[in-house]
Amino acid sequence: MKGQLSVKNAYCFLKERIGRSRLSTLAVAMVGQHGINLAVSLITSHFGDLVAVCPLLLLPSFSPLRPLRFLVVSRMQKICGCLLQRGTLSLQEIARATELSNPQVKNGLLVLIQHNCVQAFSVPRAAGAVKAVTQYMALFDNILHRMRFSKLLAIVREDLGAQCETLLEGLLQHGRLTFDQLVVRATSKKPEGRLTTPLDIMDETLSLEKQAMRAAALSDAERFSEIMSTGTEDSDVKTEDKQDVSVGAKRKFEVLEMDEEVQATITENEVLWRANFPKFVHCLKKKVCVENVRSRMGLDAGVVLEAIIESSDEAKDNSVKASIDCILEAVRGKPGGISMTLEHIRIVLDQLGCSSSTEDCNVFYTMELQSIIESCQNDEVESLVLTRYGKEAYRIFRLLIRKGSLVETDQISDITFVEKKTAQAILYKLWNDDFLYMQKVISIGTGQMQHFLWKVEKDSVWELVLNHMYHAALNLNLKIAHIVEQEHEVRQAQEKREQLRKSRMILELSLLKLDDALMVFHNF
Amino acid sequence: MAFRGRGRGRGRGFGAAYEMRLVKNVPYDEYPEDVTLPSLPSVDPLPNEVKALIASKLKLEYFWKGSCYHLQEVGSRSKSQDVDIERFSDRFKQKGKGKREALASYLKLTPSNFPPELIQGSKHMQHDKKKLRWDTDEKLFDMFEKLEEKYKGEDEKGKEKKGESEDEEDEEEEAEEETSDDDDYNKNVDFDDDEDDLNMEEEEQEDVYE
Repeated sequence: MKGQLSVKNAYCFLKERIGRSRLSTLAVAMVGQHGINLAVSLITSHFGDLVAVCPLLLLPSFSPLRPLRFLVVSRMQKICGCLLQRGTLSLQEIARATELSNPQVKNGLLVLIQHNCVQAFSVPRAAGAVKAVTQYMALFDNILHRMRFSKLLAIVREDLGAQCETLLEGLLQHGRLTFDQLVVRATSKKPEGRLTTPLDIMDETLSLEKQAMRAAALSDAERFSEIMSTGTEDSDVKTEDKQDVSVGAKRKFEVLEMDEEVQATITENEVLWRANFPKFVHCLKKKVCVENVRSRMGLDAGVVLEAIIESSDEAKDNSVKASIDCILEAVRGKPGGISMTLEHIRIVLDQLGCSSSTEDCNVFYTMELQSIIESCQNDEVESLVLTRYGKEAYRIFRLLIRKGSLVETDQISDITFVEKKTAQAILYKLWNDDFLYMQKVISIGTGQMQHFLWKVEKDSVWELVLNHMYHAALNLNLKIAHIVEQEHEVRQAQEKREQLRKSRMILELSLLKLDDALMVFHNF
Repeated sequence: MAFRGRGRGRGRGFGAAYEMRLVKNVPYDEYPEDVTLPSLPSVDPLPNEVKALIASKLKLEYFWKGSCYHLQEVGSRSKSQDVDIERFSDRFKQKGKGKREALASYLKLTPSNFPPELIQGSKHMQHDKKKLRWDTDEKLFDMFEKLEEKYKGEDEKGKEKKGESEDEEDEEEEAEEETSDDDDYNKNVDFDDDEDDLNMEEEEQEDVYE
C-alpha cells in the first residue's frame, strides 16, 4: 500500500535517527496477543472505550499488513488496539479501520499522544509526493508502565520526598505538562502556608545526579519535531515573572536566586515535562537485583551490592562499576555495614562474581547485573513449573535448563531419579505445553529403536512465560473490575461486602507481585 | 446445502457409535454438592506499603475516569435513553459527561507538541487565567490522601493498626459508591460550556478545515 511504512522499516528509520538507547522506549509492538489485550484493557479502563478496544475474539497474531477480520463487528473499533495490532498507521487508515469519525479519532490520538502512549512521526513519501504523511505508532512499554505508576510514585516518595511525589503525580496524571502548568497545579492544591516553588524542587532534583527523575522532554520533542518537519518550537516568551501567576490571594512565592539563563530556558520555552520511564525502570531493576542477592546470598552481599550500585556511574545500564574506596565508604554508611572489614567486603565481592580491574592505582569492581536478572528469571520459571506440574517435573526441568543441550529420556530418568514411565508422562506434558523441545531419533541397531531427546529452548520458553503473565494480568484486571461492579449491586449483606473487599485486596496484591515478575521478564 | 446436511448426519451417526464405546455416560450435574473450594488465602494484615500502593493506584484510576482524557462516545445518549426508566443502578454510573472539561484546556496544542494534522481544526484556547480543575473531586481525593498519609505515617512509626484500617477501608468503599453524587460537591469549577468544543460539537466542525 503506497505510503504505508512497514513496522520493520519504521524501526530501522527511528533507530538511525534517534539512536538505539532511545528506541527501547519506543518499543515496536512485537508482542503476542495477550500483551496487546492487556495494553488495550489498561487504556480502556483509564481513557474509555473510544480510545481502546474491547478484547476481540480470535485476533490473528501481530502482522502489520494483514487486514483484521472481526467476529463481532462492533461499531466502536478503536484506536489504540488498532495501532497495536497493525503497527504504524496514518490518520486516515486509523479512521477507516476503526470506523470512527475523524474528530473522534483526532481526539483519541491527542489523548494518547499526551499520555506518551502513541508516538507520531512523519516519513517523507517517495519522490514526487508533496507532503509527508504522519504515521502513528503505539508504544507498548509505556502503556504497560501505566500499571506501575503507583510504584514509581513510591520510589520518588522514598528518595525525594512528598513534594516531588506531588509533582510526579501531576505528570503521571496528565501525561505531559509544561512548567507553568505544574506551578499552577501545585499552587492550586496547597493554598495555605508558604509554598516552595516547584522550581526549587525541580532544581534540587536536577542538580543531584542520581535523581534526574524528570527528563526534559525537550530533547525528545526537538528530535521529533525535526522528524515531523514542523519547524521551530513554539516559544511564548514569558515576560512576566512567576509572581504574576496567582491563584487567589493565598500564596507567596519565593524569589529564587539562580542563573537567569537557566530560569529563562525553563520558563521561556513551552517545554513539556514528562516522567522518565527508563530511569524508573533502571531504579526498579536495581532494587530487584539487590533483593535477589540478599535472599540468595545473605544480608552482607545485599549491602555490598547496594553500595556498588549507589557509588557507580549512572550511565551504563547493565553493569555497575565502582572503586573499592567508594564501595567501602558506601558500605560503612549502611545499617549492618559498619562492622564489615575490607577483607570481608573483598570476599563478598568475589562471591558476587564481580570482576576487578585496576585503573589509576585504584581497584575497580564491575558487576554484571544481567546475570542476576537471569537468575531471577530462572527462579521464576522453575517455580512456575513446580506449582503447575509438580516436584518431579521441577527436577526434570531444572536438569534440562542447566544442561542446555539435548538429553535422552533414559538419561533424564536416571539422573533425576524419576521412574521412566512418570518421566515420559511429564516430558510429554511439558512438551505439549510448549515448555520443551523434542527431537525424535531412530537408532538402527539390533532393531529399530525410537529415542526421544529433550531440550529447553530458553528464548521460546521465556516468551511463553511472558505471554502467560500478560494473560494472567489481564484476567486479574477483569476480575477486579467485576468485583467492583458487584460491590455496587443493590442487595449486599455485610459479610458479602467484606468478602468482596477481601478478594479485591488479594487480587490487587497478586497483581502487584505479578507486575514485578513481568518487569523481570520484559523490561530488565 | 442438503448434501452437507446429509454428510453431517452420517458423520454424527458414526461418531456417536464410537463415542458410546469409549465414554461412559455420566449424568451432568449442574450444581455439584461435594466440591470443596480452597479457602481464601488470608492476607489480611496487608503490609502498609502494599496498602499505600493500592491506594495510590485507585486514586490515579479515579482521577482518569473523571478527567477530560476519558473520552466518551458522542451521541451515546440516544433519544431512547432519555425516555428510559431511571433505574437504581444508574445511580452508580458515571454521568459526568457534562462536567468534563475540554481537552484543549489541558493540552498545549502547538505544532511542536502534536502533529499538525491533529490540531488543525481546534481553536486556540484562552486559558491563561482560567481555573482548571486539576483534581476531579476534593472530597474523595482528601479521603484517598488521608489513607495514603496514614499508611505512610504508619510505615515510619512502624505500628500496626488493623482494626482502624478496616474501618478506613469501609469508608473508602462507601465513598467510592457515592461517586456519582460528588458532582454536586465540586465547588471551584466555573467554566463556560462553549469551551467544550472538542468534545461536544465535533459533528459541526468535522469537515470544515479539511
